Amino acid sequence: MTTVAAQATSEAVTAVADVAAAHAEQVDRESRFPVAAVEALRSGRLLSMGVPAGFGGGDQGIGTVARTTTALARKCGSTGLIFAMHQSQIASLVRHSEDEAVQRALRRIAAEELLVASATTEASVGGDVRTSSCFVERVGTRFRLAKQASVISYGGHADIILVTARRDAASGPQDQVLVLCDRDGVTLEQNVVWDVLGMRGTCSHGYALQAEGDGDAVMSTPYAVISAQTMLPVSHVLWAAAWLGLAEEAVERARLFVQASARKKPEVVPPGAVRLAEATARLHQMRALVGAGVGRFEELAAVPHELSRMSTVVEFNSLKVSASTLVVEIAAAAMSICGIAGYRCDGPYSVARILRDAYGAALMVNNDRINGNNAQLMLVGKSF
Amino acid sequence: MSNESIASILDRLLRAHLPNTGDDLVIGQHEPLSRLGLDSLGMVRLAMRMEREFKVDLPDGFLIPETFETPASIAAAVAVLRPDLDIAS
Repeated sequence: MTTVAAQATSEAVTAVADVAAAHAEQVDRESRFPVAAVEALRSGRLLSMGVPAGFGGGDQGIGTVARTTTALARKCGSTGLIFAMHQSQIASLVRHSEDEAVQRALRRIAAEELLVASATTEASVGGDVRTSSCFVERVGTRFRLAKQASVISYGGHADIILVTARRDAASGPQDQVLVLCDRDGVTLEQNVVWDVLGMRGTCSHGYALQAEGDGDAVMSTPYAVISAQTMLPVSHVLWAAAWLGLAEEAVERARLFVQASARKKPEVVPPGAVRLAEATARLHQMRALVGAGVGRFEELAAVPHELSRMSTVVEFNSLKVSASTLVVEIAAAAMSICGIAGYRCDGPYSVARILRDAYGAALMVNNDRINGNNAQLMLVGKSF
Repeated sequence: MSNESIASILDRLLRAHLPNTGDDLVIGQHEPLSRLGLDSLGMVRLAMRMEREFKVDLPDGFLIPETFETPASIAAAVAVLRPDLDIAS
């Protein structure tokens, strides 16, 4: 990337972050999709940031995508997380783009700045995204499927939804494929309302989804491969990058609070100063964690079988667990430093929305489930 | 190890770890095991049993889905780790 291009991207990200900041409170209060911020992403050509230049996209790697995610999440957690999830879907398409239908979709995503969501959870199998009950039905050259999706983040606003399903009616629950469902061929009937503590703007409602389209929309690479080599590591890196944005903003507000106190009484070190030092150390720890996750993925991106190793899966699972734990600790520390001003829902030192958003981190694919999976994998792995 | 053949041991282990196999089903050497219900937990359990049955340590490089893709891929892994055993027998 040239210096000029990097500068342009940086300016575009700043502009979107400003829009996200301006609407963050309303998005949270009304549990509304951040329409303005996503429109700004679209007009800044940032939705296609992770699409290779050959398909007409911004050609950015995971490092820039992660930094953008962090910058957005600082201003609006929901916008940052939506961006993270969207770019995770993009990465899954880019890195498994052997099919012509996937390549066509990537060109469209870049040309029209399309928003991509995923439907991986299912009412009958709970949060185990590597298991499906629904299946792909082939009808001539077409496919159709019906899924009770307990959560589809921003599903009502997405242009494309990537849906997991069993390969066919005879397939086992883990013999999954990923289906590229164009919004035109999708019917969504909302049956669960997303009225939750935090990340309210992700509008992760539950839906009865029905989809149909051309048969080649069923990706030929098994979902097991896509999940291990891309979806899991990239999601965990980018989610962690979003939570880092929350943590950075929380510490920033705590810093402003402590410094304002210090200037009121220059002769006294404010009581929150030591706590701020502790919280900042945690923030640096979290930054290093996310940076290492980005670096590890860059290192292994071209060696897919390394990403599939049980020990590597444990590594990226641990990143998710650690980052989601740290963000709550840091946001809670910031609230403690800011006191009632932090507890308030308004004002420059409010940490309320950040802390509510942070609490979702350990629950989106529950840390207990992830630790349970790691525990199993560690029964045979040799080096972690 | 007993006198049981490697192929027979593998077949026995697979039947113990695959949920979708009846006694009558013949498991083809190139049958994708995921289609017979082998999941990541199944791979872990199968790996532990293989370590015990074949008296071998499966290194991390072998602990990948590709190793457990088919009976043939598992047999190939055993052949690498235990070249002294006659896999074909």
